This record gives sequence, structure tokens and C-alpha cells, in this order.
Amino acid sequence: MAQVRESFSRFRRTPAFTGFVLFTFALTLNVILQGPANFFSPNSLGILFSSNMPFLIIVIAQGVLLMSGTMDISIGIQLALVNVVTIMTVQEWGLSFVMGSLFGVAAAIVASVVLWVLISVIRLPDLLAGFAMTYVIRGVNVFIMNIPQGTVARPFWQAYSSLLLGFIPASIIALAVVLAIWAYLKRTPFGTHVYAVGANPQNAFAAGISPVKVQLQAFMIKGLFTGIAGICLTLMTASGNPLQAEDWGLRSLAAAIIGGFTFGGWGTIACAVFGAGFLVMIQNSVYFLFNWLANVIPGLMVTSFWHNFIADSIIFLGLLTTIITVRGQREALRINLEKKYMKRGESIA
Amino acid sequence: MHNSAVLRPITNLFGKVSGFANRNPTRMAIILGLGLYAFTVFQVPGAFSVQAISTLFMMTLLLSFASAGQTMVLIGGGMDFTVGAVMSVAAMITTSIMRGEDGRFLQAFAVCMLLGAAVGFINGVCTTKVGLPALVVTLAIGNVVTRMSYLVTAGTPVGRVGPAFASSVIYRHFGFIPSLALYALILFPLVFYILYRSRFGRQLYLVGNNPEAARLCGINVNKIKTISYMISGMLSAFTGMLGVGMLQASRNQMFDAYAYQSLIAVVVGGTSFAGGVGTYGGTIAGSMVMVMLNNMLTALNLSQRVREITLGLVLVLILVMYNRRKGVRQ
Amino acid sequence: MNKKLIMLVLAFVLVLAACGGAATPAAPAPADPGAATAPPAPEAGDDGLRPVRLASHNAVVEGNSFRIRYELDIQEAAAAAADHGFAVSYASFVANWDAALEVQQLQNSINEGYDFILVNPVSVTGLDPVIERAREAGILYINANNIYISPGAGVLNVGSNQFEQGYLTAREAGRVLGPGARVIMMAAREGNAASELRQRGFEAGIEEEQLVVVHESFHDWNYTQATERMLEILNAGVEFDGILVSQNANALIDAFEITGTPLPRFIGYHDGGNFMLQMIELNREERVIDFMMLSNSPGVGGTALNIGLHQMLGRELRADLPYWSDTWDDVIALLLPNSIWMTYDDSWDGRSIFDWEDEARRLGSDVPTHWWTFEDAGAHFFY
Repeated sequence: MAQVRESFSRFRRTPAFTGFVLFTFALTLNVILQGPANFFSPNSLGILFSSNMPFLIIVIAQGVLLMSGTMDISIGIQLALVNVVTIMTVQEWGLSFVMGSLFGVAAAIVASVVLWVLISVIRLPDLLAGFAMTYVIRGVNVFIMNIPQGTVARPFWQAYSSLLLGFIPASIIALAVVLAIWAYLKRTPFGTHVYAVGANPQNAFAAGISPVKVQLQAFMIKGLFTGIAGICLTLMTASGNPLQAEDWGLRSLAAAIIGGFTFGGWGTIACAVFGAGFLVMIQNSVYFLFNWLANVIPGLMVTSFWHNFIADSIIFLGLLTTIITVRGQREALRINLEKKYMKRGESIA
Repeated sequence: MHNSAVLRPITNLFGKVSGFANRNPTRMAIILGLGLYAFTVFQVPGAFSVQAISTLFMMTLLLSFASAGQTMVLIGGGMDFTVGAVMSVAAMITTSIMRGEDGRFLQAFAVCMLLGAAVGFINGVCTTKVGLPALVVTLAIGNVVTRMSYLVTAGTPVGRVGPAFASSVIYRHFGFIPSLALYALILFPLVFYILYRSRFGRQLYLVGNNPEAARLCGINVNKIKTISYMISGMLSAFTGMLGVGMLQASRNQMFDAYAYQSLIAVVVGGTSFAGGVGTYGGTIAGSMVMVMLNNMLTALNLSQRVREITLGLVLVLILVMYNRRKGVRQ
Repeated sequence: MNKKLIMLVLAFVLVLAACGGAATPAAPAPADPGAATAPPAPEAGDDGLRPVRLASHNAVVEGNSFRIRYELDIQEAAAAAADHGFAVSYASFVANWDAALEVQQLQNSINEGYDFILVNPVSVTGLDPVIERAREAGILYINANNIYISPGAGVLNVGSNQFEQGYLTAREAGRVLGPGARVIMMAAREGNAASELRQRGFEAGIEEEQLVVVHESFHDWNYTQATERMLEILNAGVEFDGILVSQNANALIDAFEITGTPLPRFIGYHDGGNFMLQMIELNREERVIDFMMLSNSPGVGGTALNIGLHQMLGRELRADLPYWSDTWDDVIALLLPNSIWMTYDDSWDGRSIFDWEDEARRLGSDVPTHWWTFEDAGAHFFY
């Protein structure tokens, strides 16, 4: 018992705790409103994963940037870039879908490296650099594809939304790939340097870590993850649209912050998962809340203004609750963290 | 950093421009704004007219009003993403209270100020107490404000502004001085006074520059920041009133674009995201740059995709000249 | 640290699953997707009406008077269906232009066993997997307003003829201004299907009437941006006789009022009572400006509902309707003519524009609408 308590108190001090609490709340809400039997049916879980996988992965991608002390709000429209490049290379050049996807991923990495040049090398404010690049990428998207069109071969999108062994959503493979890549990266020097750079680039530099180089790695990883998310989006919608997912830039940022990230040096991938999960569960809960109301009160015709108001209010309240869970511990932990990584950094130097 | 022999003259020139921009951001912004206009006129001669200058003047004033609060908040080390939402809601309140009658101006004004102060207060308390980035917190608050406006108006805001109020915004004295300039005669001195002459202003710079030092000087940092958000809220609300005075009828989310526009105008004017640095004079010049840039892109008659790419690239170029964060080696 | 976290989550999920498992037998008939493959039960309820659970999915409602009216019309049509033996319950869901959220919501509605899903989609592609699942589940799926162009999806579309909206406006401009007249053309949004179609309509009309386009712009369906763009066009000193705009014409008129510039001789089009009122007031003393008021009728949703009800009765759509075969193959689209329109000289019911003043005031920013009733839809569209 004491052990359980001890491990819980240790968990309480991890960055993911806030996100975990919020996610648990949203999940419970969703399960109650949808009914446990419906929620846990393989079909419904499969849909939950397949339609939210792109968002989940870009929150992870945004999280990697946040760890390294920067961010990219053009990540949303980059998803559309991956989508149009994939669809158009298949449609116009006759490539296979797999080859087209590789081009899509490459496009996301190129866009990310451009952002890296602006933010890390030229040192523009990350928010405004992302804002400016949103315009550029949107224009490029319309150049590549002037009107929504295209299609993905049926076996591919069917595979994406299928259930492996009858109960495992196939879309989870994408998440598994992302997590595997991250598990590997965590063991490399990058895994520790990224926190040092994010927490305090000056100290990191003094310790012999190049912040610019570490951020380049972070941006490329973010580009790779964005590419994977873009392929998921393409498989999910089975077609191309040059103007989609733009809002996800700021939304992914909000999700990551709700999950427990701060701007720099703090947060784990679990934070991203919980933060994204919280937003998704809240939206889903709102669907079932109004679905339930429409059943219970015959003739009820609620305008959809209420859906958005309730969803956004819960998200705002979720942000506020982080005050209770995070306050105090965060600053202390960051100092600890810096000390820890700085020591390692010095030994490297 | 990696200068080759070919690039050196270019980077040197750029370094000089950048140095000038960082030393005199206001002057640089004025030069940029006028340069953009000169280029526009060079390309499209018809763009030079009293009429056009008068309209550009008016649009610059409106954006500079919207950016006034943002300037203060950034100087204090925060960020206000509710500017657009508050402007839009104030516009809806104004038309629904006035309903085409000028006599109700003061009522509308009072409600708008209350709204602005209330949203600003919530912004201030939430950003200072929660300890999360101001960007995310104010964004969430702005969303809730916007959603609420839909509930209240059912998506179709009603009413119009009074005719006298409308002409107090759009009438052109002597045929070319927009009446909006009369509001500037009150607003500009007010903002300058708050920033440079009042005790609050001095404390705000100190808070933005070094919150720890400010605390040691006995300044209530959270209070100063919260007041800056409240002033920003009230200025945004008033700008929303003036904006709808120009357009006369209100819509949900009509001024949402001003959240980013004001942010860029402020940064182009030399105010830094790091806090503690910035002038309102620079912001006014920065507003002119944004207005001139949009005006140029329309005059050049570009397709939407080309326009968007150009806009993004020009913004990057302008940002490169300004406000670069300090490198780790400096 | 991470392992513990994962274990905690797993434990939590398992506990919930256990609760879920325990609750299953007690749950009152959970929606079984297998059972839904049979066509909707035809038997009538206690009141002799056949129950139809309708889910209306919309890309966006907020800030869009067209879509607000669209949803209201569906509600009215749903209520009216009671006279024809249907008890239609209405639930609406909005995706806020988020394609992933839209897919999630649609899948939820399929799982929840709605009888009839009416979609005004975020994008004109991207729902093939959803449509297929709905079909497998035996749910009636109709796509309204925004034509779903994905080839081979086999879904019925009911929409307004967007091409015709651009075309009629350009023809009216040509009639008023004469050949060689200079026009400004303002699109809604590049990369958007409806906007592209209207542009094609404008261009076809421009060619027939030999108009000259002197400036092109766009407004993103944003009222404020439309006014700003127009102000900038006036700043640029462009000389023109008329304006062709993909809705939001009234926002452009504002720019003329703000700058005090003389009005052009023609502007079109926009729907909405405030535009009608604006035109009435401007032309009250003398003929100042010609215009095209054209309603991109939000009633398509209500019409689609009534068409769907006939399909539920097992009736077959006629083959000789104005289906769309122009741009995209394999798209089954029923394009409704734009039946509500008004120019200075004429209107859809022959009344003069000044007779419409009270009606225009009442409408405000609302849009005049028209939807086909159950009887009319049955008589016109079915064998």
C-alpha cells in the first residue's frame, strides 16, 4: 500500500499528471454520456482512434517542438500540404500511394526545415513566423491543388479504418510507429539535449550543446510526425483538400499546454497524448450530450451554438484547473531538471 | 555566421538595415510604410490620390487604436489574443443598444467599457495566476467570449449605429481629413500619457523588463499586468465601437482578424515579445506598414494564392529586419 | 516512470471496461450496428406516424446566415412532415470546418442508429468511407448544399446551381452595362468548390456579354474583409462600371459609403434582406444602381429532407432531372434552379422591388428562402 502511495506521489510530480487528471475526467464524461457498452465496442473505439489519429500525432509533434523551446502554429496547414502532395503525386505522376506518401512526408520535413531556418537560425518570433508561413503554405497548397479532388485506392483507406483481429484499430499502427521512433530518440543524446535547450539555451550552449542543431533535429522529427499525421488524414478522408486543418495549429498548441507542456524544457509525450485526448473526449462528449438531450426531450431543437459554447467553456475550465495540479511543483522540478541535465552537459563538454 | 564572399556585401547591407531597424524601429517602420506606398504608386499610378491617402489614413488610425492595448500588454510581458473577440462583441453591443439612435451612445459606451474591462480583468487574473502562457489562456478566453456572443445574438446581431455617430467616424473634413482623426486627438495623448508619464507606465516597463526586480522594488507585478489587460480590453472595445461606426451594421466575429493584425503591427513597431521594450509611436508606424502592405497587395491585382504567398514572404522579410531574439552567444 | 503511467491508464481502462461489461445486459437495447443493416422499420408509432430520426450534420453554422436559415428550414420541413405520416425528430451537429471532427460525428451518428443522415459537408471530398458505412448500415444518406464530388461515391446530392448564380449575375451585368463594360470580379475563396463554380459562371456570362475584367479579388466569405478589399480597390484608382461578386455585395456598397465614392452602375450578387433594403433605399428617388439579388436558397436542406422521405417510401427518382454531368463524372447531383432573384426591373414573382420593403426589413440579415414541400418534391422529382 505504501508503495502504491509512493508511486502515486511520484506520478503526481510528473508533467503528465495534469493532463492525466483532465483526460480521465473527459473520458469518464464521454463514457457515461455514450454508455459504457457503446463506448467500448470495438467499432466505436476504432472510429475514435481512426478519426482522431491525425490530431493526436500533430499534438505529439508540437510537443517535441515545445520541449526544445519553440513551436509551430503552421503545423495545421502543413497537414493539408502533406495531403495535397500525396494525392497529386499519385494522381498526376501515376505514383503508387506509398510513393506519394513519401513525397508527402518529404514536403512536411521541408516545410519544417524552412520554419527552423526562420525560428532558430534567423531567430524570428516563433508565433509570427508560423503565422506568416501559414499564408505561404496555404498559397502553395492551392497552387498544387486548385480545388478539392482526388481519391485514395480503396484497399488503403479500408485498411486504415479496419479492425485488426476484430478489435484493434489499424490506425493505432501510426501511433505505434511514432511512439517507437520517440522511444528510440529518447535513448540518443537528443533525448536529453532537447530538454536542456528548451529549458535554457544559453546554459545549454555554455555546456557545449548547440541549440540550433538540437532544434533542427526537433523540427525534422516534427516534420516526420506531421507527415505521418498527414498520411493518416489522407487515409481517413480518402481524398485531397488544400484548405483543411488550418485551425489545428493553435488547437494542437492548446492541447499540448493543457496536457502539461510549457514553453520549453518541460513535458513528455504522455502530456501530448493526454492533452489531445482531453480535447477529443470533450468534443465527443458534447456530441453525445446533445444526442442524449434530443432523445430525452422530444421536439428539442437546440442550436449548435450551445455545442461550441459548452465545449470551449470546458476547455477553458480545464486550463484553469491546471493551476491546482501544477502550481509550485513545476518551478521546483524545472530547477531540478536543469541541474540534472546541465551536469551531463558539462561532462559532454 | 556562414558568410561566403559572394553573400558578404548583401549580408552587410542587411546587417546595416537591421541595425538601423533595431535602433530606430519607429523611423524604420515609417520608411517601410512609405516605401510600400511608393512602390504601389510606381506600379499602379492610379493609387496616388487624396481620396486614397485619406482612406489609408483612416485604416491606419483604426488599426493603431486596436493595437494600443496590445502594445501595453506586450510591454508588460503578456499577450492579448482577445483583441479581435472583444472588438467584435463591442460592435454587436453597440448596434443592438443604439438601434440607429444617437441618443443611446453613452449607454452603449458604458456597456462596452464594462465588457472590455471585465474581459481584461479575467485575462489578467487568469494569465498571472494560472502560470500558463498568455497566448493560450487569452486564446481560450477569446473563444468563450465569441461563443457567448453567438448564444446571445443567435448568430444574427441586430441594429445599426446612430447616423451622427457613423458620420463622426467616416465624415471627411475639408474632403480629406477623416473624422476618425478627432478620436485620435483624444486617444493618442491618453495612451502616450499612460505609457510615458504615469506611474503605472513606468512600473509596466519595469515589470516587463524584469519582473523579479520589479517585485523587489515593491511593485505588485500581478496587479500591474492585470491593469494592462484591462486597459487593453477597454481600448479594444472602444475600437470595436469605432469600427462598427464605420461599417454601420455588426456581425459575429467581424473583427477577429485584428488579433493577429494588432500583434504584427505592434511587433513591426519595435515592441518585443520579451517585454519591457516598445513604444506606441512605433505601433502607430507599424499599423501603417500593415495597412500599406495590404493595400499594395490588392493594388497589384494578384490571384489569391500569389497574394497569400507574397504576404507571408513579405511578413517574414519585415520580421527579419526587426525584433530578432538575441542569439545564445550574444 | 512511463511504464507506471501506462499501467495506470491500462488499469483505468480495464476497470471501466469491466463496468461496461457488467452494465451491458442491463443496458436497454444498445444500438447494434448489425441490426441496422435492415432497412428502417416501416411500422408506425402510436400516433400512426412513422418515426424518422434525422441527424443534420453541418460544416459550420456560426456566423453564417445562410446556414442558420438552412437548419431552420430543415426544422420547418421536419415539422411539416407530420402531415404526411412522418414523425421526424431532428438533431443537428456542427463540425466547425474540422474534417476529422465531421468524420467522428458522422460515424457516431451511424453507430447511434439514426434513420436519415443529411450532410452539408466540410469538404466536397473525403467522406467515402463514411458513406459506405452508412450504406452498409442501411441508413439513408443525402448530401445537401455543398455537392460531394468524389467519383463513384454513389451518394445523392441536392444543391443549388452555383454555376448559374455566377452566370445569371454576369448576364444581368451585361444586359445593363452593354458590351465592353469594365467589371471587377470578386471571388469568395480560391480552392473552394462552390466559389470556383460561381467563378466559372461569371466567366461564361462575361464571355457571352463581352465584358472586360479590370480587377480580381476575393473576400473569404468575410464581411469585414470584403469591405476592406473594396476600399483598397478604390484606393488603387481602378476605373470600372460594375462589380461581380460571389455574395457579400452589400459589404462592398459600405466601402463606397465610407469613401463617398460614386456608386458603380451595377453590383451583384447577394442575398439577404439587408441587401434588398439597401437597393430599395439607394434607388428610391431615381434609378441609381442596377443590381442582382439572388438567393443561394438555404432551403436545399428542407428540400433534401422531403426528397429523402419519398425515398424512404421506396419511390424512385426520375432520370430526366437537371442532374449534373458537367464537371465531374459519376456524381449524382440534383441541381435546383435559383428560383428567388430580383433585379431593378423584375423579380421572381413579378413584384417591383419597392413592394418588398416591409419584407426586406423583416428579413434583416436573414436570407429569403424556398424549399420544396413534400407534395411538390414528390410530383417533380419522382416517378
